[in-house]
Amino acid sequence: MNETEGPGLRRAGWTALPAAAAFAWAATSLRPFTGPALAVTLLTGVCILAIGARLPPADAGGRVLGLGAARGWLAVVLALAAWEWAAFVQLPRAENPTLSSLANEIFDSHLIRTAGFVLWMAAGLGIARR
Amino acid sequence: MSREIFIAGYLLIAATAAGIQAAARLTGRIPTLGETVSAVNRTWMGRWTLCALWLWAGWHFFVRAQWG
Repeated sequence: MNETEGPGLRRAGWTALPAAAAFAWAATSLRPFTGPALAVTLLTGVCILAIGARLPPADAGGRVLGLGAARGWLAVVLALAAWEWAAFVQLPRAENPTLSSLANEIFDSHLIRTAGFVLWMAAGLGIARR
Repeated sequence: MSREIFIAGYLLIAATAAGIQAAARLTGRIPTLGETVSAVNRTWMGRWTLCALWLWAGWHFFVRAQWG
């Protein structure tokens, strides 16, 4: 059991999931490149960071590993950046897809867009929480 | 053809990441993605960079998107 997280916090997270999904559905109903979409996304971001900063820190499981041990992850990030750049500098975009253009295709589905927004909020909570 | 190659590359990178994550969980000798993010998050600059990247991702994928 995670001592710092506790069952209460985990239960609260699952309880909030339907409300978060409903909010995400509404937020991703807004048309891109509009003021309301910008306002809702930025306000959500600020609120998520504020909430996450107030949550107890996540338990590291007693393991504190330095960044030097993360060379594999650094290699993955660099490979992804290089591949993305190779696609980005070539046209047409349909033949040379970037992650953004692929996301545009996938996010055409409102349901997937909603799931993406929920994941984005969850990631923000994790980052803000430390 | 180029499209398939690029998508295969993205999938290969994702599979590599999944492999590293699995190896980290099984062996405990290398950090998981979460532990790596936590390590970055412990520094002032890393924390601000992660928060900025996360906000940028929300703006990029949900505001400046071309779906709908």
